[in-house]
Amino acid sequence: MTIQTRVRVRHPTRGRIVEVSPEQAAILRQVRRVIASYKSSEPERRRLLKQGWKQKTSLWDELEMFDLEVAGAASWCEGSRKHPDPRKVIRNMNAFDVDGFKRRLRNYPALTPYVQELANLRQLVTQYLEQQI
Amino acid sequence: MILPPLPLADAVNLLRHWDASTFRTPAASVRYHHQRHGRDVSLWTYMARAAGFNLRRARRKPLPEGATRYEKRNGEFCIKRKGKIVSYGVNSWP
Repeated sequence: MTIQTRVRVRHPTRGRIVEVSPEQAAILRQVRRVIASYKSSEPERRRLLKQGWKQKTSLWDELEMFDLEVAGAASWCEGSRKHPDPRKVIRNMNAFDVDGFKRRLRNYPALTPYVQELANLRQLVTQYLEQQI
Repeated sequence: MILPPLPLADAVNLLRHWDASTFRTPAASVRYHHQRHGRDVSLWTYMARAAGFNLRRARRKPLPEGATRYEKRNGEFCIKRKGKIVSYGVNSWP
């Protein structure tokens, strides 16, 4: 018989305490950090959004897609339902170049921590999903 | 987060406007975007505003993977894919 450790952690979006595995708890805590860094970067986010509005594909749009991809994948790491194609999710998440984002965000220093938090979440989610393959 | 009771039919109706996108369920997507963009409004108010977003007079911008970003002058925006909401929020301009 194996005894699995359970950890109590506040869910970042449900606003209540949930009991999950240590790996899931780490992901939930990281999602909370991503949301917090997103909120704290608001003035620079608005500046970047305004600057990129007239461009066909702006840096902000790419960041938004990166966020959606990683946060969406993270939502598959809770509960018992497994992702139907974890390989595809890992491939899609890793298609985004974090170092490239950081280089292009030189003039927006408050957005760099946000990108880093997303990269950390991607790493945790990748590790979790790789166990399902 | 304690929410006032909402008839189940209304909740389902509001949720029907949302696309799960990369998320496990549409509800997971709504909760995540509400945390990011919802500011001080309740989840139901956020969903009602998103569902009531008027595309008229909104500037359109195509995004990757068939999504479109609609944005109004007051900074209110909505990202839609195949007619369903992917994200909604308000960015007040500097």
